[in-house]
This record gives sequence, C-alpha cells and structure tokens, in this order.
Amino acid sequence: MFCSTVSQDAGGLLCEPTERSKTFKRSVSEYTDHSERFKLKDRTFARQYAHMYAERLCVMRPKLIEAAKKKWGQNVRTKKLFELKAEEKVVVVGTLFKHMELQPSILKEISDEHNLMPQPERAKFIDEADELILEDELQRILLVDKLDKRALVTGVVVAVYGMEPDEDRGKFHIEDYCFAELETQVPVPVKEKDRYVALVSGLDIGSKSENMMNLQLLADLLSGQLGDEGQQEAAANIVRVIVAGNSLSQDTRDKNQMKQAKYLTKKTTASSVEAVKSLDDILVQLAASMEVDLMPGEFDPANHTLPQQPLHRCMFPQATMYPTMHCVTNPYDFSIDGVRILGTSGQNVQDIYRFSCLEDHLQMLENTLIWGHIAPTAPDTLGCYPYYDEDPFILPECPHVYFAGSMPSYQSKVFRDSKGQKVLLINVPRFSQTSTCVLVNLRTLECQPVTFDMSFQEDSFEGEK
Amino acid sequence: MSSDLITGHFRQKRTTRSSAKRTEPQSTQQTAKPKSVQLGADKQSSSKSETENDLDVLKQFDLNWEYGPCTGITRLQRWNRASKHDLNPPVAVKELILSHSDDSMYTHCLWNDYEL
Repeated sequence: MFCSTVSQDAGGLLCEPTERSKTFKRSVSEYTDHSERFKLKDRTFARQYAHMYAERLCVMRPKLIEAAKKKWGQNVRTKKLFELKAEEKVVVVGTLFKHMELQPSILKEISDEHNLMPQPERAKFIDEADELILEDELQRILLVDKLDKRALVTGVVVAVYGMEPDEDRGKFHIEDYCFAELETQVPVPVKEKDRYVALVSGLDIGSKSENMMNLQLLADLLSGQLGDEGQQEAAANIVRVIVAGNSLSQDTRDKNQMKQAKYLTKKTTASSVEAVKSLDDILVQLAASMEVDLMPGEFDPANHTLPQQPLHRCMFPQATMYPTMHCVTNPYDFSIDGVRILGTSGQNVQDIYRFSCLEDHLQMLENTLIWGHIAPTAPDTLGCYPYYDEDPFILPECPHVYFAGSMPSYQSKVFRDSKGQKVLLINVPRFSQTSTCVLVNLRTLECQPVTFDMSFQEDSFEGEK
Repeated sequence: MSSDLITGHFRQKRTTRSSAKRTEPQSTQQTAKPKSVQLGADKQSSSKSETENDLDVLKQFDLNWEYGPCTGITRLQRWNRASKHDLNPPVAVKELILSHSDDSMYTHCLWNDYEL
C-alpha cells in the first residue's frame, strides 16, 4: 500500500543540512478525457423533458431485450404495452415511474383548493402507499409483485416478465425482472509501478467550522513536502488529484444575501468570494506540482442542473496559470493509464437517498451501476438540462473505478457483474467532516483512505495515519 | 335539430378539404387540354394541392410515434435523431424540409405556435 513504501531509513531528514538533497520526480501518466458529452454546446431551455425519457428508452431498449433474452431464453416474446393481451406471458421494456404522495410538487403547493401548509423538511419522501408504474412509448401500466418499490426510483429502465391477468386489467403481475447488462470493459494494461490517483471531496471552504489545517496537510502530502524521503518518494507516485465537488461550503450560499435586492448588496461582497480565494490558494499549491481536476458540486458557484459545467477559470487566477489545473464537468469521465474512471459529486446518490428506502450510500452507487444509468432520477427530481437527442448519463462503457463525492463516510467495494467484470466503487467522504481523502492504486485497482488529524497535546504530534 | 348536435356548431372541415383535394386534381385533368389562359390558374391550384400534400406528409411524420416526441424541436432535428437510431425515416421528408428551409410551416412541428 501507499505507506508501506516508506523507506528503511525513516528519519533521514534528521541530519545536518547537506548541499544536495534528494529530489523525486513525479510520475507522468497518460490521460484521456471522455467527458465531452457532458459539456453543453447550446443552452436551449424551450423544450420539454419528454425527449430525454424517449431517448433513454430508445437507447436502452435493445440492451434490455438482449439481457431479457439471455435470462429468460431466446424465444421469449417482447411486446409493447399496447400489444398486450390478457393472460399472456411476455416481456415488457419500459421506464419506471414511482408515484409518491409525498413528493414535493409545486402544483400542490400553489394550488388554492388544497390549502396546504408548506411541507416540513424531510429527509426521505417515501411512503407505504407509493406505486410503481411502467411507462413505454405510448402507455403506462401499474406493476405489482416482485419489484421492491421502496428500493427503486423513477427513471430506471427495466425489462419485466409477467402477464396482465384478465380479472385485474390495468395491472401487470411480474414474475421476474432484469436490468441492462454492463458493457464489456476494456482490459486494463498491466503496469509495473504503482501509480495513485487521489480523490478528495467536500472541502467546504468558507464554512464556520472549516478545517484549513488538515487541508494544508493534504496539500503538503500531495505536493511532497510532508514526511521524510521515503514518504516523499511514495508521494511522487500520486499522479493526479481530483477534487470531487463541494469545495465551497453550504454556508457561502447565504439565503438572505441571495434574496436581497441588488442595490442593498452593492457594498457587501458575497461570502463565496473569500472562500474562492482560499480555495485558489490551496489549488495553486497542488497545481504547481501535479495535475488537478476540479469538479463542481452542489454548493459550488456553478449551474445547478446536471451536468454541471466546469467552474470558470477566472475564479482561480493563480492556479490557472499552471497548465496542470483543469476545471472539469460533473459528472466526470476520463481514463488514466488505461483505467477508466467515472464519478460524480454525489448529487445523484443524494437524490436516490431522498426517494428510496435505501440507507447505504454505497448500495445506492452500486444500484446506479446495475441500472446502467448515472442519475436515473434526472430530470424528475434532480435538475437536468433538457437534452433532445442524447441522454449522456447512460453508462457508455463499464468503468473500472466509479466514485461519488460528498458522501457521509468512506466506503469502498469491488462490484462484480454477471460477466465477472470488476468495478471498484468508492464513496469519497466529505473532507470537512472526516479529513479523509482516498488514494486509488491504478496498478492493483485497490483504494485506501488517508486521514489527517492534528491534536496539540502535550505528549504526541500525530501526523498522517 | 342539427343545432343541438355539436356538428351543427362546428363545421366539419375535413370533408371540404378532402373534397377540395379530390376535385382539384380532377379539374386539372379535365382542363388539361384547353385554353392557355386557364393554364396559369390551374397550375396555381395544382401547386396548392402539392403544398397541402407536402404539409400533410410532414404532419404524418410529426404524428408518427416511432420517432419520439415532436414538440420543441425542429423537424430536421427530429429527422436526424430518428436516423441516428436507425429508424429509417423517409428521405422524402428530409428533402421537403431542406427545400423549404426558410418556411417555418415546413421546418417546425405542427404545434409550433403553441408556447411551452
């Protein structure tokens, strides 16, 4: 692992200063960007979201039919909903819609006849009375049996095998169901040396409880200024750092300030200005010595709808002087040394948390992989750009590493699909709360957390663990 | 009695249009030979029916559910999207759209005038 490469002569720096000290060159890796589909070319919002759902169904239908034939035999019949006959066992492919009573609806809020008080803040919007409905291009039908409606969300494309009974028309009784299979992974080229990619998220600069000390320790470790020569040599193998969203804190989005009229706020500066300056100071230290990818998150000054566009380079005047500084989209898809890495800043997982009964964030991340779609709840409950000719969130290729940022705790797992392909799932925790970053070894495709802790006690100085 | 039925209030436009279409080609056939003075007028009426035919073809392209939703995007965008998914939309439709690329009746969908 990373720390085991600490050299034998630890404490080598505790000597007299010499004229020449050891320097270590940072390894260089091949990088290819695959996030072109997330960059918006035009911004036409005069469209409805029906196009996105139609696109999603159209693209995923052949994959689902293939998976259905594999599971239930080549002779199984696939029908559209309007072709369904009673008591006939068929496979139907469609998009799931979860009808939730508690789902916040702007229509209900502004409707006078309901006389509704504003809903209290809820963590989850699920209810026992939720219903699952399957929609294809023309019709929709209620689904009963088998599918766990509490664990599923709107927008997942599924193939169901079952029939519509004669006495219970309008409902489809499911015997079995399946999702699309993951595409074939491109095999990873074998490497001799260890190379690491650092993932960090949720820096939350600008909050009242910001922890700049631990952040500085992180920057020092990654740029090789922390630790003795062995650790510096190990740090030279970290080729890239990805800041996966929420670099600015939620507190910088002061609601009062945002709602005030412009003429009142003329003399005051937004709290995000100071925070961005601090972020720039940290980023310039990192960018001076390694490749940095900065992804926007939920509370960063970027657009709200997915896919979030890269933060503007004018915000980081010092860091963007270096060519190693890259502002990238959220979600972010790239490959480094042949390892395909895909990740988001966590909004997709957060939204699934709100609208399903699942508690384990890693399980939700795994589910998005099984469903074949990064953010199935977009555009229903997660803001999304109204695409009309593509759905960029469908997984094009099976990634080797799949991460989500701003998670409450560090979790990781190796997911194996039906073809035996392995995907490393990583939940990158919020650095402001856990002071933990994640190092991914590109050679072995394993990851480990690195936690920073400082406590000024009389006896010991605890550096990195 | 007819005033009680809805057909008394709203004239059925379909019959007049289709009868107009039916009568027009017949009239052009009948008057094919005659005086040259009338030819100009007949050409206009035949081209009018061609326009109506074209618009009808485009309308059928809009309403065809296989190519996905039609509102909010131009017909050319929808045609390109359909051909990208190998749905084989008729090439004649694309030619029609491209030949009248400045006329919004051809380029935009049936419900173009209705705001979102």
